[in-house]
Amino acid sequence: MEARVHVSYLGLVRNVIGCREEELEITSGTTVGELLARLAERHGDPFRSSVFRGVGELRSTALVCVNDCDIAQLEGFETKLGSGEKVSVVVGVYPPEGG
Amino acid sequence: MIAPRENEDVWIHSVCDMCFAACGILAHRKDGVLVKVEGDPDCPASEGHLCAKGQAALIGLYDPSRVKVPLKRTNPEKGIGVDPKWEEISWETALEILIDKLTEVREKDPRKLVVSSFDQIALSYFIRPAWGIAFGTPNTDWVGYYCGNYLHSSMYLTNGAFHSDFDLDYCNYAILLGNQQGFMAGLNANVTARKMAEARKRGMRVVVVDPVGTNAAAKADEWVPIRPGTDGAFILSLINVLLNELGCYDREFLSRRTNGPYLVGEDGSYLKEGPRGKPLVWDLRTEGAVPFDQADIEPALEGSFVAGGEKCRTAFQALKEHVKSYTPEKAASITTIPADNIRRIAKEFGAAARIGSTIMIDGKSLPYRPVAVNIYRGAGAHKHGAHAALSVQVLNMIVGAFYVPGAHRGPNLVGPSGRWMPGQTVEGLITPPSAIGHGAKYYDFEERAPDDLGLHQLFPITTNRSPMYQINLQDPKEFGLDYQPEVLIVCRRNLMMNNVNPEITAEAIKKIPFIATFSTHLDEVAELADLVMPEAHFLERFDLFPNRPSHTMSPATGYFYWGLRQPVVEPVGQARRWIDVLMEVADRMGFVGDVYKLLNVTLGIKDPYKLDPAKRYTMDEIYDSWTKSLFGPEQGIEWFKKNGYHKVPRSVEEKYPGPFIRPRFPVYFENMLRAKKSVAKVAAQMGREWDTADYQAVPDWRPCPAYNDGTPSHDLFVVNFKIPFHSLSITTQNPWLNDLAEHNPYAYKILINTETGQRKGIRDGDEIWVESVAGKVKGEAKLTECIHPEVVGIAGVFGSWATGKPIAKGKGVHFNTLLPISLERIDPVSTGVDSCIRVKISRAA
Repeated sequence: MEARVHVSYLGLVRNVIGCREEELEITSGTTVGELLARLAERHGDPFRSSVFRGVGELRSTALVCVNDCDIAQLEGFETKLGSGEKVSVVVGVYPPEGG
Repeated sequence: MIAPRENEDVWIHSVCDMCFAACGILAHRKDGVLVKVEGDPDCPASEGHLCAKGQAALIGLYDPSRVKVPLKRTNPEKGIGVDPKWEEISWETALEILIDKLTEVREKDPRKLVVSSFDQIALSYFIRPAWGIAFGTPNTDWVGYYCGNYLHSSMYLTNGAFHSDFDLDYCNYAILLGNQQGFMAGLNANVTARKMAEARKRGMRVVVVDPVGTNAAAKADEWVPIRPGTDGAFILSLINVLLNELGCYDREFLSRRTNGPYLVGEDGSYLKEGPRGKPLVWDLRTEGAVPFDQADIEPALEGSFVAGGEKCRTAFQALKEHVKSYTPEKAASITTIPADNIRRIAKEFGAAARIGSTIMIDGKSLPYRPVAVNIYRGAGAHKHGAHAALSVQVLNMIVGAFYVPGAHRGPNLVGPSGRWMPGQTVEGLITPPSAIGHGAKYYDFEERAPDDLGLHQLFPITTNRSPMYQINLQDPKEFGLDYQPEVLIVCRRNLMMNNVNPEITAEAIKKIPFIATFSTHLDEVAELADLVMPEAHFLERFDLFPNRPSHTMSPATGYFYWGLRQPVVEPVGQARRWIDVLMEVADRMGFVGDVYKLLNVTLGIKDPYKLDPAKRYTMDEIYDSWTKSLFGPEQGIEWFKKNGYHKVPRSVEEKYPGPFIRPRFPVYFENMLRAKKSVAKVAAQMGREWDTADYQAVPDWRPCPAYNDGTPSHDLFVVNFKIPFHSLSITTQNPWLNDLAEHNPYAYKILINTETGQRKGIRDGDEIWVESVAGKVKGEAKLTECIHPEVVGIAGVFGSWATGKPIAKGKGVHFNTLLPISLERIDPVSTGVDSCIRVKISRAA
């Protein structure tokens, strides 16, 4: 079944791919991992380099959310997506504060 | 709006901001005028008490020298003592100037914007996780060089929390290493001071190890003067005595709750099931190597073995053998603490730990280890300071004094009712709860050249890399970043007073073409600014949850609690809160919707309270959404205004989580060996030679530069120490606190040991020069027995020079003038600036 998701790019990833947000057609049940692979194809090395540290591993400064929830608190890359869901790719989550 | 009413007489809940303790206050307003500030009896952080700083906030609010309108520089020349020739402008003009500059750098490269603040509330909740990211800059972390670079990362690594604390309800023996926790300093100072007094009445012994006879040392059972920068050697020697002379260590805790039994090969790495498998331990029952978490095993804590044909030993064995070289005799020559004293203190500490004992609390039988060693800035702010902090943690762990009654603990490892919990690595080791230390990924490193001013990938095991900002600014080509900062926004932070030598800092700051500050006074950093915006005093501000439940709230308060700092009076002149201004800037520049999206994620705001990126909210409305999302529709911002605090009592599992959580604590830092390889690769990519020696699996002591670079003329160390009634430079302009400092025999003076002074012909009250390679300062000598004979002591962050701070100007001595900054004088793991240096002293007249 076809579905549409809304992807927002926030923070430093936007500096390198030049895109704020986009709507994508997916098959319902597509996983976050599959969507990210598609985004990597679409936006190329600047996206890969900004978001991933290796195959299937996010950089420590990157965060992917579905409906504002960190995928680490869901099913990670295996989180399934349905129509109308909002995916955010955030880069720039730097380590915690401390003087 | 707070409209003054005739015959009004109200008491208002709010939260103090005169230091980081964030005590609850009640502010008494009559006819629109604040007349008194007291501790709020309903706040667990104050229980109705308040220190001198908090009570003096009243007079600071009404300081006539506050900045009241936006100001624009008209003199293009910048420098210390150079008149900026301010021109008063409207807020609209100020915003236009700021937005023009920000738009320009955002179009060129958003990383050219640097934000500097030590306003932890706005910084932690809004700027770093939302505003800065939405703008597109990673450079929002230029904070202090003065507290815990080395500390916070060492705590995240060992106790999984942000800070260091210990249980005054049951502790019987505490060693305070370069800190004054419990003596009106440190976490929740009002509560811990009372708890400390109660503990002392029941016989708790306190040993203060410090070059200076501080407020804490004066009240302790024993003051142990130590040569600066040698604390690590002292602690490692205590560990050696306990492990190798007394055989006093908690075998059960080390075997079951730490990585002590993990097998390590000759290269120091764990032996694992496979390349990414679980570490192995030696099972005494089957006489073989098995995964550490296999059921029904009896892991060997000590010994050497051959597993899979490879020679190995347990991590604890490696530690035990490593510390053998730290004999008390060797440590005595390093620290100047007599060997007999080191042995005695080790013995007392080990005996007081009561290894094997238990205690019943709330119907639960818990290990009882009523001892702790606690470290803070004085002992850690040195090159190799991370090793000193890790040594301290190892000492706590070898006697099992970790997260149990009487012992060391991190402040908030678990949240109320399981709201947050620590994580666990594949090796079974503790990591901070994601709600607290999302970025503290100390087991997983990126091997790529950094693109932020902090040089994240070159310093993977720290919490802030502020000194690297300055080093990058001083020479933008040094690390080959492909951009240079063009705009600096400073929010309630004095970069000039609280860093290193101001001349050096000013040269770095001046390289940024446009500087905007939010300031309550025309202070030392405003003097270099192009645009100054009047900042609201904390008694004029809204700040939600300034009591930081996740970071700096001591379990000694007995609660998790959430409070509200609310305005007590209208802002003076045209003062505004800087975060409100930056939100307006984001709106005008078109990225506030992104800020809202990020706040939904970082604050965890849930439906139906999520912020809609298409709408516009005031900060009060954002706070309202956040509180309702957390506590339900009845507890919005109005509830907090009226009631003050939402409090949740801590259960025994939340006070003493050690026995109730699964992750183990590391006494052996194998991840450091991997960090070493990663940092070496990153440095190689950058074409640099890099010192990776400090990345080692067991802590060591190495001399800081000052230890070895004494000369016949520069023969003394200078150190900085804390006066309880001042905090950083923010309190120095307060007339009541200035009055206290003027009547205090030490605050504004230069402390020299009596015999040292006499040897150099210096008398009490003489005006003297203190001179280092970085700069020199003048002040009045105070000869005293209460300082190590090799040391000169200067308190606080005094010695202001800004004309906009007439009370503070010229009062006391500015310690930081004496500090240089260079890669050689920072801790190579944490980036902490070494805060002792050799000096010569001479009479000024």
